[in-house]
Amino acid sequence: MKRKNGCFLGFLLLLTLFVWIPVWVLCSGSFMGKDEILKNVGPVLGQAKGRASWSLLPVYPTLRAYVELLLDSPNFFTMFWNSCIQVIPVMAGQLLVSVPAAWAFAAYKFRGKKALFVLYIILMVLPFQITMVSSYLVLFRMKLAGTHLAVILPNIFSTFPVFIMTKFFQAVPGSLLEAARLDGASERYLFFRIGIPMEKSGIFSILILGFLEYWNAIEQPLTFLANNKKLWPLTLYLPNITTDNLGVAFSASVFVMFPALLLFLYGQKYLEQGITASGLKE
Amino acid sequence: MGRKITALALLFVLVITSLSGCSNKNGQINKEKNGKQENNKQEEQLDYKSKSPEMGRFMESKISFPDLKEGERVVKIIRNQENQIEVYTYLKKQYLMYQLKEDKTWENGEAAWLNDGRLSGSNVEFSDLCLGEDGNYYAVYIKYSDKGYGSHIIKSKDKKAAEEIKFPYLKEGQTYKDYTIYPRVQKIAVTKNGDLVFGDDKDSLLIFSKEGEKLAKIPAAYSEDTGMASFAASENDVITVTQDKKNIIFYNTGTKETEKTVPYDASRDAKAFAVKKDGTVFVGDRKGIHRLAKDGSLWETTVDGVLNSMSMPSLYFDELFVSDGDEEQYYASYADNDGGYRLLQYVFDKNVSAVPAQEITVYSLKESNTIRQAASLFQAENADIRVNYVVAMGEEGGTVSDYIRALNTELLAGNGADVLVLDGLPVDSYVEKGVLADITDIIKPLEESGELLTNISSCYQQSGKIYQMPTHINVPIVVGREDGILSMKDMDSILSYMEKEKKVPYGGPTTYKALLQDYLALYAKDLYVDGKPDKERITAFLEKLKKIADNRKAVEYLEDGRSEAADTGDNFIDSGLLLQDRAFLGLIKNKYSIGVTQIGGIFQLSVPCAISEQTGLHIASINQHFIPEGLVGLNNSGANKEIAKEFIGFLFTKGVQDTKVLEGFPVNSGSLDKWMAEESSDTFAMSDGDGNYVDGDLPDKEEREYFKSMIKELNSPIEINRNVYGIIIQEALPYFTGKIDAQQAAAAVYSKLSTYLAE
Amino acid sequence: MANKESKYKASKYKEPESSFVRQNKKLTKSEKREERKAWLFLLPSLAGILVFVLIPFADVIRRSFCEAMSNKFVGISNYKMVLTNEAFGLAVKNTVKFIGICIPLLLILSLILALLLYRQKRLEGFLKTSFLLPMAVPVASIVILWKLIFHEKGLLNVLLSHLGIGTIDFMNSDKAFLVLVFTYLWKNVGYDMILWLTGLNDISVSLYEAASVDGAGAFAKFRYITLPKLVPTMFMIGALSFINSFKVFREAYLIAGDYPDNSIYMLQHIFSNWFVSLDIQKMSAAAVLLILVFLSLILSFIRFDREEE
Repeated sequence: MKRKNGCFLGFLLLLTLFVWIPVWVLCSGSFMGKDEILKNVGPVLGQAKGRASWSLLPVYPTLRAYVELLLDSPNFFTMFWNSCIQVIPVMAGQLLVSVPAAWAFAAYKFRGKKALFVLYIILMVLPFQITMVSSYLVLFRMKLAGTHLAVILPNIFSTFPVFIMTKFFQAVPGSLLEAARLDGASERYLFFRIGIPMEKSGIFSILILGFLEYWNAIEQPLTFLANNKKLWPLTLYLPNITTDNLGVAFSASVFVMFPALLLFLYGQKYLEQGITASGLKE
Repeated sequence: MGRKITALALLFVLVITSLSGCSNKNGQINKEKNGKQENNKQEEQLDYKSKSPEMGRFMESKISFPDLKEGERVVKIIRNQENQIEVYTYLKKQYLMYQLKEDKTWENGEAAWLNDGRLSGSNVEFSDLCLGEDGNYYAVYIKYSDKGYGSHIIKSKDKKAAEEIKFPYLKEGQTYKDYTIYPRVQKIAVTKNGDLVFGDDKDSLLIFSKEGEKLAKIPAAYSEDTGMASFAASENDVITVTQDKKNIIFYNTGTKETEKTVPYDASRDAKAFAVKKDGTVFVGDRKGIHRLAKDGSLWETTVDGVLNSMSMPSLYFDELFVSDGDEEQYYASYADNDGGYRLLQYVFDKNVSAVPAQEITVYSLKESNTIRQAASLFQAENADIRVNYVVAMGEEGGTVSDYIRALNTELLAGNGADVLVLDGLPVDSYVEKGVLADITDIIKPLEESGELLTNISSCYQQSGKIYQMPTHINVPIVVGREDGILSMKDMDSILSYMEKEKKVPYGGPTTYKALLQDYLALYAKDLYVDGKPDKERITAFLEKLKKIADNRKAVEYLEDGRSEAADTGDNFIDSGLLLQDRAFLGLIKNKYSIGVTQIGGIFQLSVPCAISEQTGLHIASINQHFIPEGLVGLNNSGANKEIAKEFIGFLFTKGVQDTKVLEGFPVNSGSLDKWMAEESSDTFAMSDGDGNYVDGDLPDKEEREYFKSMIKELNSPIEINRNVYGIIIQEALPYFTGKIDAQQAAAAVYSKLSTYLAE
Repeated sequence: MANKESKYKASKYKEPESSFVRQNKKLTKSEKREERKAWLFLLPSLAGILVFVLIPFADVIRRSFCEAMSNKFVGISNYKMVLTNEAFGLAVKNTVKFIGICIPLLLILSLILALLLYRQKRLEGFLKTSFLLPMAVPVASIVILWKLIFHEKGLLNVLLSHLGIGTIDFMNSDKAFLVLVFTYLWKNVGYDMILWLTGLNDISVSLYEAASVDGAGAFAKFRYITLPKLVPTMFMIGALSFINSFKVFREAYLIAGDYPDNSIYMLQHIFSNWFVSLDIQKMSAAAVLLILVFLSLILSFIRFDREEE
């Protein structure tokens, strides 16, 4: 049995290489000098002859790319800040909006609940591209296009966190609520003192998932902020890879990955207390 | 309890609505507009939509020079100690000076110090002249000889006699074989204690004591306009921009320390500095004139450069003079890219609204000098109109498609720009969907009056309507024997010509990618039957091209690793890079049968002409093709259609088209005549690694006439569909590199192309 | 990590909740009050959705019956145009193929991983973090990485040619589909694994113990206890994976551009290309069709889910 477990462990560790190799390439690339990285990556960008290559460690490690990123690219900070402005309010807003909505779905009975929940599921599944144009027009009419709010507001009302949170709240025993009601507890008490504390791992889950989603958003800012490049988030800075700033692209990648990584380290345990096994129904 | 929850919910709704409510107010609008016109920091100035317009604006007026004689040219404009403008000119080995009097008349002044023979030889080039803060006049010139060149500085107290100042620095030469190069001083400034400041060739300034001792070297931002740092002296301070272009510094030559650093968002263009007696500092650049109070730290934009000549790409700031006293006015001296000077005055006019009342927006994917230039001229003529020029693709990321989608959303919202520069945009789709308006009523009068080259304009008739018109054209030409030139008419003729001339390769070495791009530009219609891609045709095209590639010894990558092709990674095909043979000079020794290049101005004609003279080869256009540049169209649902129309018409007037903006030949026939008549004493020499050498001067009269008539016979625009290009190049390349055969490549091209066309 | 909380909620308290469902149509006073409270909790969310999702959505429906720019009513001709469009057919085929292959594959792979990790105490945290990590890698970085690895001249091909296998152009051939599938699995397998683990942890240990007493083998326990208990989890994970399958387009687009190899030409490609050429009418009609398909899928899913129970 022990040996079998060891085998499994070895196999799993082998699988993690799929993850760690790319991550390592990103990290080590960020410490390479300009020439080295160009020599390594250039061939795949049609900028150098031969084939791509990589060494386990940078041959001439340097912090140049980071220095360039942090000191010489004022844009980077603006965009980093923009990313923060466009992500943090969304998460706060989602808490305010979707947690109560999820509570309504989980803790109450009302007419039209099933239909409404199906609607929420559909909206959750819809690709962004479908309503992209029309959404822009609505935002434009509201004079929001080209402002941070154009990215923030629609994302706050994403139905995905409602769905996830509903799943969590459904685990709160109905009998418990009923008993509390009989004891004279107010609805607010039920929500704030029973629902939220019991399912705070759910709240952390939606925060983490939300952060990952919006921190990496590309389409929304690109469409809704098309005319106001000053508000562009980091994700739109990254794809701008030319041979001149290849090193910066790697260091910027590491930098962008960093907050998400931190979040994982602190919040992973909440993700693991995952969604209850209750299927799709409301 | 329920009530409290209600309250909570209501509060939330309130927050949301007030948030969106806020944004209805001008705060957000300003931000949005500000993002569009990144040039200006002053939001208040931009609030042109406010109900009661603020009055008063600095208006630009041109100060005409004194009547200059033929051949007389301005070499420098300065201001003397009596605050008079002095214009220095050069005519027949003689320097002249004119002073601007109070009543705006010109009076001859003293310039004897420049005429003692030192500066007037044919081997002498005038470099710069200044009035030092110490009250002396200084001039710099460069003397050339067979053995090299070096700079000399003279100084004059009374403008009558001059003495040369000897500097050890100026004697630090570098010798290559028997040619010695001494430091080249392009600009000079002198502080109150007599220290001299030189602009280096590079990104730093050198400071010397009057005895020639080197005091300091300060790093400074390089300007692309002048090829050196911008700087000025005020009292004992040297003013310049830091290398990171984020600050303006005041370096005191007395204490040898940077006394003051003021944040300033500087760009690459040349800057002029001025300091008023009360210590107010002024900076002039393309964005305008900016003012900083003596101990202030915030710049105030007094003159918005977008609204006048300052933003013209063909001009750059040389000197800025500010009148003393409370009512400021400015004089600005500009150098233009023809080597001339221009003097403009800015006076505050209380009767003009602070910002123009009307606005049109012009959109283009990439920066267009023509539009920039025309916008400046248009605004100068129409003080109440602002031309808001939006260039979509800057230094940020994003592909062409991303930007087009963004533009499309705007167009759908009825918020699109009034004038669209269509280069790179899906024109056919815009015409089909009715996005573009018919501009026949603008173009027809221009055609009838003979202003517009009708052979060009008639190419853009689309069932009786005109939706687009190029502001400039580039002409691909072929140089070769007569039968060689004739062979360009189709690919089969090329093949049979190659068969006939086995000894000499058809053209110079190139890459597969460049070859594909070039031949697609010329023969893309070979791929289709009745507008549909045809597998057999594609196979035939690829096979023929492969033969040409083999004949030309094409490779995948050049030695330096580049693929030498026109698309620049973001999928925007820069047509300026198409049809340009690298090894053009190889024609001289008959190494290749034909050479292809693109011409867009008289200077680019020089090399082909010289080769033709040397070898007797002919020059012709390729199948009367031309490459349109700066296609403009009118948005059908734009808010200011009438002004937009006026602006489009303005783009084709002689006033705009006369200016050289390096975007191709003008389509205005008067401007074309003017361009073709341009005189210059410049000569050129060119050689390549294979020992081919060619030299000469501008084409002679006969050649010019030939090219002019050639341009007037062009009748077929080269249209580049970046999607089709992308698809074919991507799928066909493996065939050229030998990975797949022609059938496979053709099948791949066919299937992708069909998908594209089926969309 | 098998947390007490979730065990407690999943197994014990499910039944009483569903017993609250009332059959009678007429509402009592307390029910009315309950209903009002529910709507109050829902209100902010509903209001936002109405403005930012439903209004645009209504606009899409309107546009699907109109001409692109002039807004002239054209009946169902846009739908006809879309349904007869070859490119659309290709995109639908590819998308269905992608989802059809990816989701089962992802479910199986992540379940295997979860089973391997289940009861695996050594390095548990490290392993979980490792598999979750791809979620944190920015899309744009994946693009550089994938180019570096899968390009014709990339690292994988260097490796393959060392092994004596010829070079394969992963990006510009039908192999691109495999790369895309790999990307999708790579990104999502970690989170799905975590979800499976939660499901596994919710299965009461006593069930297994009881089975052991009855002499059931490991496979039998898996077949008769684990799998049936995991069915609801499967629906949940399936739904989330489905959502994520539409997000892989970001990578496909950034790596291969507007016109990738025909094997990965997906619905999102045609949508985005239609948008570039301003074919909003086609986009809208296709969007409406897509939503109808989604709706029927989800409804049948839910029905199936319920029957299963």
